[in-house]
Amino acid sequence: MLLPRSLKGRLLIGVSALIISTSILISGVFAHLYRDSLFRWMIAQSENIAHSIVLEIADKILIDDLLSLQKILDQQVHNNKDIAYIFVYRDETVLANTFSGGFPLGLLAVNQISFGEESQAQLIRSTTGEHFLDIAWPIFEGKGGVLRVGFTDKFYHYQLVKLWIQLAVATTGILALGLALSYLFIKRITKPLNMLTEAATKIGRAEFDITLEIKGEYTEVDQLTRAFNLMINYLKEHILHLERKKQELEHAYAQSKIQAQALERAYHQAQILGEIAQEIGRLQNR
Amino acid sequence: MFLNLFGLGCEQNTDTPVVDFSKTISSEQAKKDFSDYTYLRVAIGSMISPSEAFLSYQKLLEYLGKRLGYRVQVIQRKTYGEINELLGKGEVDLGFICSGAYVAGKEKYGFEIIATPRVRGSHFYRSYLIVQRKSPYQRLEDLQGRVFAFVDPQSNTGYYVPRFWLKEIGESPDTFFKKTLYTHSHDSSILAVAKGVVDGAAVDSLVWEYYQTKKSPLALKTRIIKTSASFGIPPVVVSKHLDSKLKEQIRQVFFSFHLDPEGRNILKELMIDQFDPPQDRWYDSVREILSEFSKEK
Repeated sequence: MLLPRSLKGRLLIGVSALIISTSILISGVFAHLYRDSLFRWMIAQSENIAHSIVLEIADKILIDDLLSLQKILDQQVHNNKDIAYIFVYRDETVLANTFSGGFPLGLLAVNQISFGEESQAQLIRSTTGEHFLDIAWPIFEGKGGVLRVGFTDKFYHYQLVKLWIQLAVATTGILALGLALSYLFIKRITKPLNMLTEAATKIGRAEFDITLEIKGEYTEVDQLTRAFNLMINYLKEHILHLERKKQELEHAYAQSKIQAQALERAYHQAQILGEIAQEIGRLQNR
Repeated sequence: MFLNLFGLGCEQNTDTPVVDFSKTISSEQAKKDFSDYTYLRVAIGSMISPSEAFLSYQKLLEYLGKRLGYRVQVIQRKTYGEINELLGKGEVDLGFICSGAYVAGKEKYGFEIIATPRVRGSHFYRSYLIVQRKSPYQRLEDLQGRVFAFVDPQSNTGYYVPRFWLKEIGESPDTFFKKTLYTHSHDSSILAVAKGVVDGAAVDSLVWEYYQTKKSPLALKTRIIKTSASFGIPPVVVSKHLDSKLKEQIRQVFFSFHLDPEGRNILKELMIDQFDPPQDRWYDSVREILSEFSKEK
C-alpha cells in the first residue's frame, strides 16, 4: 500500500480512516437499535389493532352473527392498508375470513395458541417471499375463538429504508464536515513545521536573518518554534562573535606583518651597515 | 452481519414458517364437522350483553358440564325470540331466559322450567325505571318527549313493564316518547342512560343491583325513579326434546350447586344464593302484564 511521504498526508489518511470507521460503526449500531425498537413497536401496534378488533367482534361471535362479523373484518382490511388478512376460528373451524380466493390451507396450522394462552406474534413467510407479522389473539381465553390478523411488513421496510437514507445523508454530511475540519486542523498543525523546515534550509545556506512567528504560548509546536528562534539567535550571535574574532586576528596578523617587515628592513639596514663597517675596516687595514 | 447491523436484512430466519397462500380451500371446507361431538348446548338469553354474559356464566357452565360429564357449548343470540326458537326446535338443550320470554314462549315452544335462582332470599325481581344521576327527571311523566330505551320486545322488565306504566297513565310509547330504541340487553340500557344516549330506560332490578354492588362506573351514574311490582325471577328452562334422564340429572345438579364449595363460590360471584324448584304461579304477575298487551293484538 502506497502511503504519502508527507506527515500532512499521512495524518489526513489516518484521521479520515478514523472518522469514517467511527461514523459507520455508530450508524450501524444506531440502525440496529432502531430496527429492534421499530419491530417491537410494530408488534405492539399490531396487537393494539388486533385487540380493538376483538372488542368489536366478540359479541358478534358469541351471538353467532357471522354476517356482521364478516362485514367488520372486511371493513378493517379495507380501512387499514397494513392488514393483509384477518380470520377468526373456533374449534379449528374458520368462522370468517377476508381471503377472496379461498382460505390458505397451511395458515391455520401456524401461530396456534392453546386455551388460556395470551396473544402471540409470529413472523410468517409466503412462498413468494412476502413477510407477514401474524398476531393471534384469543377471545375470552380462546373459549370464544381466536382472531388472527396478518400485517404486511411494507411499513416496517419503508421505515427502515427511510432511516437508511437519512443515515446515509447525515453520515455523508458529518463525514464531509469532519474531513474538512480535520484538513484545516492538520494544515494548522503542519504549517509551523513547514516553516521550521524552510528556516532550517535557510540556516543551511547560512541565512540567519530569520525570526519565526509564534502564535500561541503552550503548544508543543509553539515551544519548538520558540526554541528554534532561540537557536537562530544564539547561532547569529555566535557567528558575529566569530566574525569579530576573525577580524581581530586579521588585524593582529596585519600588524605583526608590518612589524616583521620593519624588523626585516632594520635587519637589512643593519646588515648593510655591517658590511659598510667591514669595508671601512678593510680599507683602513690596507 | 453487516446488513443485519444496518437493519437491511429481513427478520427471517430458519424458524420462520413458510405458508403457501396459493393452496387454498373454500370457506365451507374450512368448517369442521362437529356432528360426532357430544355437547350440552346451553343458551344464555340476552338479558345482559353477550360478552358480559359469557364472562359471568363461564364458570357456572364449566362446573355444570363437569358435573354432568358433558362439554358445554354456549349459544347466544341477539334477541330473546331467537333463543326461544332454538329451544323450541331442540337446537338448544338448556336455557337461562328472561321471565317475559318464558311466559311468552312456554306454550308456543313447549319448554319446561326446571330451576329458579334465589337471589338475596327472594325468587322475585322488579323493573327499575332509571335515568342519569344528574338529570332533572323525577318521575315517568318527566320523560315525555324524551328518548327512551327498551331492552327487547319480549323482555318483561325492559319492555312490557314500561309499556304497562304508560298504559296506566293513558299513554303509549309512540305518542309519549320522542323516540324509542332497543338495546337488546339490560346492561346496554344502563350504558345508554349513563352515557346520555337515551334519557331513560327500564331495566331488570337484578342486573342493575349486580352492577351497583360491583361498583360499575356506568351503573353508578344512574338512579332509579320508579320501581315496579315484583315478578317471578328469570328461570332456567330445558327444551321439550331433551332426554328426560338428562333433564333430571340437570335438575339435581342445579339443586345441589350450593352444597358444594366450588359451586357455592360460583353462585356467590353471581350473587345467587342457590337454585330452587320453581313454582309456575310466581310468573302470574308477568302473565297479567303480557295479557294486557295480548288483548291489544
